Amino acid sequence: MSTTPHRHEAPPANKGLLVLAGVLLAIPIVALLLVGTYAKDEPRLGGFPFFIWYQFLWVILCSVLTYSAYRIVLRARPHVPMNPEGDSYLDDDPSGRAPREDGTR
Amino acid sequence: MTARSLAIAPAADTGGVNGVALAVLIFFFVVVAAAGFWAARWRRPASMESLEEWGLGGRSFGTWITWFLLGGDLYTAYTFVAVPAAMWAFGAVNGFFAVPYTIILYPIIFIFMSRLWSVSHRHGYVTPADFVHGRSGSRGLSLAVAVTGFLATMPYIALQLVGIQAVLEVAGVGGGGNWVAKDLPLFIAFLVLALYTYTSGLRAPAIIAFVKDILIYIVIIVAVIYLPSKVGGWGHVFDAAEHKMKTTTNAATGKPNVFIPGAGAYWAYATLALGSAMALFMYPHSVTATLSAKSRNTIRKNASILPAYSFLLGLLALLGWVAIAAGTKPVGLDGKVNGQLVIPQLFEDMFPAWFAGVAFAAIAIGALVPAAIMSIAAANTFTRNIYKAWIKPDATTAQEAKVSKVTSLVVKGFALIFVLTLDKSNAINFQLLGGIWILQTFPALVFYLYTRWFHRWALLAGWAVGMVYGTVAAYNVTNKSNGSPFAGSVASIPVIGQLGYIAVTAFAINVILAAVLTLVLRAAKAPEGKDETIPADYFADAGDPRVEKLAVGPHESTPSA
Repeated sequence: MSTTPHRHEAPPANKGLLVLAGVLLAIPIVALLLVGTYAKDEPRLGGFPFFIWYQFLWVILCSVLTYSAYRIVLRARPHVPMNPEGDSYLDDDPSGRAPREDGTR
Repeated sequence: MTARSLAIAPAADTGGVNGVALAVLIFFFVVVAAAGFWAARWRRPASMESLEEWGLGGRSFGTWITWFLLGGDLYTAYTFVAVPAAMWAFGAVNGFFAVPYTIILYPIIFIFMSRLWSVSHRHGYVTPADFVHGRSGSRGLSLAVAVTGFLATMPYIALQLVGIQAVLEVAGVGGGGNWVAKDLPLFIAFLVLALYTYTSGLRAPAIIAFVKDILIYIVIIVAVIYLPSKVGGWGHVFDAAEHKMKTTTNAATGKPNVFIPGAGAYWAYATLALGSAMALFMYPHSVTATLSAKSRNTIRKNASILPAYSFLLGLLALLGWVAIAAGTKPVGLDGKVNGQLVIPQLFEDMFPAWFAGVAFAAIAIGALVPAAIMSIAAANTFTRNIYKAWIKPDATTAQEAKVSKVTSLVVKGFALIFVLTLDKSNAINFQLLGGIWILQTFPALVFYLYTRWFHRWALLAGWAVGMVYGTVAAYNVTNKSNGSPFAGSVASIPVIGQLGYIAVTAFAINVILAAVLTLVLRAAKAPEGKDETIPADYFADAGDPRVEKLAVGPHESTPSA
């Protein structure tokens, strides 16, 4: 489809933060797959069985966790611009914020 | 046939045409059809004779409009008809799994969609099969992915047609004696849809989506606030549902219905949610749509606000139980109980005729839009990855557009066959059947985003075995009351021995086989394909060299669930 430039590795990332984001994302998946932990009627809330309102609660929790993961991922692997040829990163600038093609930062 | 054992007396008053509601429905349908045909002139291109214009119609909406449209896209016949119908007839395992499904969907796509966005923008990939071809260097594997996407979309479109049919039947048309008269209104609605999709391409659903969303929001908000209070409050709703679920059995499986899943249904509930969530973003229409996002991290940001829509989906699902409390009798014009009619029937019973008409229009149009988008995406996949890749590599743009247009008709034709031949009593199965197939492309698409460890031939073999196993297992689920095949999507999981979603079992077999064969092929030194991507491609963002805006669909950054 296109010629492949010879550029190599992924941009540097804070592995710890990436793992943290992964854990935050895994929490709602694991929680909702453990059906046995919430498949019960009591306690009811406003007439809603536990089974129902607990899953509605996870809508909100999942939103919060996913948004946190989003912020963390942005920080864990800041975007590194590429050179105009697209075959290497402009990350040899020690500040880590190399000027872009058009001179903006 | 849904529920012979249900304690529901045959209703005498369901027949007859609801004149006002039908008039409102027809009014909206005509408006929408006119808009659909007019769409061809909207921002009229120099020529409609290219795939770019017909199939990709390239438009970019601003942020808030996109969000608005996304919300509308989550509401289709699946949410409005199939899920509440399953709740009404069979209870939580068949219906409410849609809530955890649409919650865990977002963490899952959060993880891999950004990589797909980046690599696709660096290499101009528009379909899943494009990426698989570039990454694996295997035309065969790419073809397998394309064919699966094409095939799996059909039952999903069929589900939309079931929704339209349900509305028409409750409004009082389409119940004549022979099957031609019975299905004629559906044929007419279908034909109009097919024709304006043919002439206007993706512009048609893009324009109609506005009408659809406004109607759907009005109806949802009114329904979930007004209806529960009218039938005695949520507490009463749940008590009525519990009573019905504990005193009835599912005629198709011969098992009791479910109010809250018991220990024997945990696996089924969890695998239905997980399998559906993993499958949804494998569909051509959803992948292509996600790629229309502005930048690499847009989809991640969206993933954190989109679960809000799952909240409304859950409330809509519960309308199926509201209908139990309200004593809704979804009896078709042929005198048989048909669960798919329950939500339209609820609206007809509880609302003034004119508002019932608005609700009918919302459901019908809410089914037309995704049906059009899905058929176009499937047609594009066919043209790009099957026709151009295999049949006529030197096709001109006009020929491509022609093939896509015709294919969109063919896809809808097949969808119609699904509707007319398969067991409709549990229409949610249409979506689940599509899920069984499409999930088998998950290893090729998602694993390849991270690693080339899997050998391309091994992935192809895993896919083939997963497809065959899934199809055979689904065929073998027969309706115990009438013997028809494809009556369910849940079967016993080998080894574990619990009931589970067939898609997930087939997926597990697929992955294990692919892993084992990879070891074998590596040992045998089977030739590797050429990878045209580089690691950096998976992190590119807007503004990087060679990251071009892709000409993808106009507005779907999330698919129609």
